[in-house]
Amino acid sequence: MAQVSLKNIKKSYDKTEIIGDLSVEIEDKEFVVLVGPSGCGKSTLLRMIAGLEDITAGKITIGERVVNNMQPKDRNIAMVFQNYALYPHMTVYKNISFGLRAAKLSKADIKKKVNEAAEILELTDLLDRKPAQLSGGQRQRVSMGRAIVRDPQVFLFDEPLSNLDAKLRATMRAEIKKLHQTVKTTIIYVTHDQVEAMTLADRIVILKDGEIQQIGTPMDLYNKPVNKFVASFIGSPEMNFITNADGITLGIRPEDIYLADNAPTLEKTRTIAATLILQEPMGAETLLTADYDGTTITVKAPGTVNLAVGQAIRLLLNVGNGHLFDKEGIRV
Amino acid sequence: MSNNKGLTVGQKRAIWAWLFLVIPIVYFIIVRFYPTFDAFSMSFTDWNIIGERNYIGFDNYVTLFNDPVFWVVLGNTFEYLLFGIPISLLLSFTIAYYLDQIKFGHGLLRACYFVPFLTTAVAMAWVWRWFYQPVPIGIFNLALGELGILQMDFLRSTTQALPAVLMPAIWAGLGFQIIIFLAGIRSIPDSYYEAAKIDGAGDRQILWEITLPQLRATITFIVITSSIGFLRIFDQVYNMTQEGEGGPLNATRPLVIHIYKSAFEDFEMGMAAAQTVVLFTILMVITLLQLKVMKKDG
Repeated sequence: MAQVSLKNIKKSYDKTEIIGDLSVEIEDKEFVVLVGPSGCGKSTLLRMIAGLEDITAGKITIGERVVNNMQPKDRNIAMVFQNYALYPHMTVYKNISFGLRAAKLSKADIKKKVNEAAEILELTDLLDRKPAQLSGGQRQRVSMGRAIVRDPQVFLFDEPLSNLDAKLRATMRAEIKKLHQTVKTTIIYVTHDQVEAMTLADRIVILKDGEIQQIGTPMDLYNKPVNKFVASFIGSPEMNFITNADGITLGIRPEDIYLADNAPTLEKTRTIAATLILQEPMGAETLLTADYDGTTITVKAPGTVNLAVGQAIRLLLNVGNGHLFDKEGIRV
Repeated sequence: MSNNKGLTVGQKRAIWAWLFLVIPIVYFIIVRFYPTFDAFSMSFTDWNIIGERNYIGFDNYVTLFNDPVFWVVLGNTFEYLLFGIPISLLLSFTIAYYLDQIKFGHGLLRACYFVPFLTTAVAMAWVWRWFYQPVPIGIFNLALGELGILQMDFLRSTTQALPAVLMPAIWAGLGFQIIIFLAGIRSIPDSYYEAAKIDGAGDRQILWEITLPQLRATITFIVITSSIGFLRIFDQVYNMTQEGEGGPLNATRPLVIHIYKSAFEDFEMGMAAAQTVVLFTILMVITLLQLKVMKKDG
């Protein structure tokens, strides 16, 4: 069992507070993604769980043990770094077996474990290569191999995909998900990419300025964002916000806005007149950017659309799927 | 078409580059390369600095290799190298390794280690020469006396003189090597150490499997530069031994002093040139060997 519990965690450097009183309970075998814009404290939080940074106050428990003052090696965790942290002078085999050699396992045991990990990650043919001879995706897999051979209670991932190109990122995302299903270990995963968060997580923790904004399943966050920050962070393209004279904001996602002439029948709707300022065909859909009384509205229209930029258009908002926020940006 | 008249941008750039390089190139050819090549031809003559240069074939080399003193000198030169390199490498790495880990007083300590590198070798050699004197002048013998240990001869002993001369030579180069090691250590990404810490590696495994292999290029550089330095040792020996002879009984005399004495005391320029060629060959072979060894699976 390896639940991870963070209780009233605080972190400050000198007088600058990075994280102020944060608590999260992570279940055994759960895949939790910490997501937020850069500088929100998510990497610091991960590094504190790893033991690479001290905590200023609070209590971190992994499994049954309080690990506050434990060395990283005694916490029974493994970490995958953004830059992979592979040792360039060692072969893939040596890299993967590094931690096992540190644990003074017998040669035969090391070989068995490395081969198993290589099998899972399809690295068997690459074991004699050096990191410089590998592609970005292969390096990423080696660094995951180094983590899984140690059979840790918790995996920590620190933005593992951000050095890869978009296509590879999608592939590796799927591999990480598969990996979680195979090894069934608690995973804490840090990213700034909401797509990664949505696709990978059992639960997402959204952070901003060192504070938790919301914790929930991806669909919770998508359907019931507690504030404007979460609403705009989750979903792509971003949610549209239309504020009325009383300061109440209607948040509505681009996929809930239709061209009025081409809209399905819906229960609660509102029609607005806007001017088209940009048209981006994506193939399966077209992104339209329109100006509505000084507010920029993004619309995700299915298929191909043939309109002229500058043209007046009428948009139908599916208000039934909208979200209302008060002046402070809190959901009402 | 008239558009193609004149030079391309690339050609113009190359011409400018060469224009700027002309002066250093001319300088190097006249002041460095010509004398170097001249030394090779001089080594086959009996030139005595004022007379004719008569070609005498390999006579200088034959005389040289039959001279027992030359072999003693060559032996001394290699002793400087074989003791100097490991000792200075071990010292400078150890100091740099621990200096890197401290924050308080880091700059001051680093400056202290670097000062000898900036100081004139002659002045340092004389200070050390005094250190090695018998009581009441020499502090080493004073210290030994205080501890009730027998006095040492140091520079007057045929066995202790060479290590005694080597000490300040190592000390003088230490600051430079420490700075280079520090730069090398600092360029190793932190994430390597963090990953190692999480994987449970101890200090030993981190040192042998991460730090040292990552410093391969740094070590190569230091070994090559300091090899050249020790093989060319001169100032310390010249200033710490009687009349700069490299005594007692040639016990500290290195090849460069031998060359100097042949050329400017005995005026046997041809013989001195032959010795220079020998030194040149040794330096080149050692450097190439080191480069090759260090490059292997690097």
